[in-house]
Amino acid sequence: MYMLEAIGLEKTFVTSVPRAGRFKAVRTLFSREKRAVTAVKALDFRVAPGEFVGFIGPNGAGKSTTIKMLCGILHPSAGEVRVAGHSPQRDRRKVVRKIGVVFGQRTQLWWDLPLKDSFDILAAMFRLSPAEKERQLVRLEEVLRLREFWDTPVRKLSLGQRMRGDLAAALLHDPEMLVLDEPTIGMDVTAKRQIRTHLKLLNEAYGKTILLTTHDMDDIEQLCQRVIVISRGERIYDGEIGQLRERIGLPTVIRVAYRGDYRIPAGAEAGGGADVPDGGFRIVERREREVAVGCNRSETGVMDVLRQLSQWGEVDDVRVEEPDFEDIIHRIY
Amino acid sequence: MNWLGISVMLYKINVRAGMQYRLNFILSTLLAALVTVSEFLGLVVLLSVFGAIQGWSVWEIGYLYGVLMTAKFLYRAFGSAINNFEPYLVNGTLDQLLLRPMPLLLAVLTSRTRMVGGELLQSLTVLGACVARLLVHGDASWWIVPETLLIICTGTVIMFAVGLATAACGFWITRTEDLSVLTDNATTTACQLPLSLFPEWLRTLLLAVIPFGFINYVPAMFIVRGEWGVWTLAATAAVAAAALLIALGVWKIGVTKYQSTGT
Amino acid sequence: MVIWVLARSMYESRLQYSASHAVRTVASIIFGLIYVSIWQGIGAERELGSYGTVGMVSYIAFNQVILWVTFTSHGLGLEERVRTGQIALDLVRPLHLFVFAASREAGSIAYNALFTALPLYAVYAVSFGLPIPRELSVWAYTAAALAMGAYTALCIGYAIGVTALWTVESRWFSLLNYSVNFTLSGFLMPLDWMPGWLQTIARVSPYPIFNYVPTQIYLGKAGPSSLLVPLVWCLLLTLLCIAASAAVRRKVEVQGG
Repeated sequence: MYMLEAIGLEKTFVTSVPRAGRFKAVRTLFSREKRAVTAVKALDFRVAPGEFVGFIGPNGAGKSTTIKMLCGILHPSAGEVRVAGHSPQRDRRKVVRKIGVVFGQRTQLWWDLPLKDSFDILAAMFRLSPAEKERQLVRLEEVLRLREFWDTPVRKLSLGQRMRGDLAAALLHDPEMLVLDEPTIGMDVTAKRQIRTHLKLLNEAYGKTILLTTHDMDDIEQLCQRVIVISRGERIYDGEIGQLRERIGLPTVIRVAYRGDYRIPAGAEAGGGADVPDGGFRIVERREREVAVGCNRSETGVMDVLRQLSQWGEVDDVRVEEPDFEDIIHRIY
Repeated sequence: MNWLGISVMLYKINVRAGMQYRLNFILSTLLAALVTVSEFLGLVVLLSVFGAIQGWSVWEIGYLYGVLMTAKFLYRAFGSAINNFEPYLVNGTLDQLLLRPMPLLLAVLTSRTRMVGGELLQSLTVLGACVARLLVHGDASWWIVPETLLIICTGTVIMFAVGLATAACGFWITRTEDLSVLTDNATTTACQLPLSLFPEWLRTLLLAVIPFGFINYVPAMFIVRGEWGVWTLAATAAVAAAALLIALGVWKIGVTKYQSTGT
Repeated sequence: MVIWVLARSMYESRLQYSASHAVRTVASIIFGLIYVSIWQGIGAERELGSYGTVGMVSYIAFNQVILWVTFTSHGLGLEERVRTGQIALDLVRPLHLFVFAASREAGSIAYNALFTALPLYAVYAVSFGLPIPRELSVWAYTAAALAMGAYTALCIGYAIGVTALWTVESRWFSLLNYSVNFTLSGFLMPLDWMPGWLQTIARVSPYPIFNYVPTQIYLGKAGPSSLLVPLVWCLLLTLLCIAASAAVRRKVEVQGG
């Protein structure tokens, strides 16, 4: 049985069309004209138990709408969702016991109370026995290390700490699947790395199925075996992360700083996007002692490029920049 | 723990969380009491100038006020989330509540508690004084006590039902604050005085559409005026039950229309 | 000029929420009908002093109409600006905070006057035969009273908004203000009928300018001399707002913005 199935999932929102011109307020009020906006269009996908799936797409692509339908928050206009065989709309309460959900920008913890109180409340709500609760907390402690801020009111936690708290809260009732909407949003690099480690452990050691939306390409690269890309409400890619990489290539920018002057071989002096003859890369930017070049890593290796660049002058420092997430998405369609 | 136990626990938690800001808690309690007292003052002045209105004595009108306000503040205490439902739809707070393994309405209700101690004390004092006066002057028998308790319950249910239906309208129109001025505040203002004062259309509205008339006027016609029969109590209970059922129905349909935010 | 731009932008942003505003206007019309019905009911049983039932209905109906000209949002929206920290930036502007907040709110009042007060006036003129004065001077004095009422409301609203810097419960001050306003402004009944002690409190408070004074003038029961006390209040409240602004500046500077 699949952990999660979306079958022909659609969501249409109806909004009234605002009128323009004089007395627009009054005219909009009495206007019967409505416009249907399709946020999600005939979406199909399946997630098997134990998978770690990245669900990505540009802003406004319908990610949140889809996630909310998967959790039973929104009712689809057409199609169906099944979570471990149950419909989140018809059996919402059964489904929320099987999944744990974290929205990165909100918290389900009790803002003014010490962190530990939230777990007492959630345990009562999910009807965990004291023994079950203790057992879960011990397991969660291994992964998320909550003891250090156990007695701190939630409003005083750092973003990273709060996210660990939220993850633990979503996991307290031992759900089979985790749904995470932008869990690393707004975090610094260290906190992000920590959260990723926790998520990996949850997936690999505890066998949780995880569905993750994010804008951070590192999240995807380091965590997901599979990605689903949606754009304008439609699925445009569903497959291994490796294949996605092959399909779009790996646009990479390499910045090299030289100790002294550097000399660009003839034929490439034009600068600004010029291809270097037989080099397999092109110059993106030139400064006094620094040059930035772009290549596609699936065609030209970074080491190859570096070897060539080191012949232009004495290399002082090298930086490799990963492509921007939005760039990648734009390349797919 | 059953749902009742969990609800009680959640209400207690809300109170505890509110108490974190002690000074603000004291200030808001004090000011809330002042607001009701000063609102009551308006009615008192009116009555002190004119005495009886349409054959209703000052004490009988006080009884109407006491029942109405007691029901109102009981509803405000446990139903404050429903009474202030707009932010739940606008900020997406409802999303989080939908993820709780509780019946949604219960999750909404238990997510917010308003301290109404001061206001409830005031309305109960008015009610108590009026009932005592009616008893002492032999205008009412001791039956008035259980009957009043009964209509406080049915009144609270009617208040809640109207509030719930108004909140549920938010699933279609999102903004319900102005609507609740109409269904809650305007109706409460009208029902502080005997319904017979009002023109036909308004009376019909308050009996058949937004049945606030059944919170105090209709049962009081039996309990303190003795003009109508005991059937009014049965009718009051029936109206409360019907209003609740209709409101729950509207709510159930509304939930499936929920649009959430950020889309 | 800045005042005009601020007011206009607020006015236009209010235009966005027409549906909920329509509900509010309907609610207001019904509120007025309720109050009028109460007085018609009372008037059916006894004489209503120098007003008579018809005069009293006019009094109440006109109060309901002008209610919207002196209605301000909670704390002129300052609470929100305190919560988001926007207030620190507001203080850096070359414009005085009071002028800034009041101009914005004035746009909102203009909106209310046009889209609530005016429709109400039309509805009540038709349904209750609200008298329409012929003398230009009555119109002028009424307008002056309403302008002073609106200004008083802005000052009080501002003073309440400023308290948000000290307490998160400033909303209760607004509620208290609204409810005291209802009694002391003469909204529910003319000041003359109130018991002596309450009348005294009302007459020395700034509240009668909201309802009692303009309505008396409009109905031809009072002349321009009744504008004197409100004028003193306008001056006093202006001083209060200036003092309040100074306190805000100190408080925000202490908090480090």
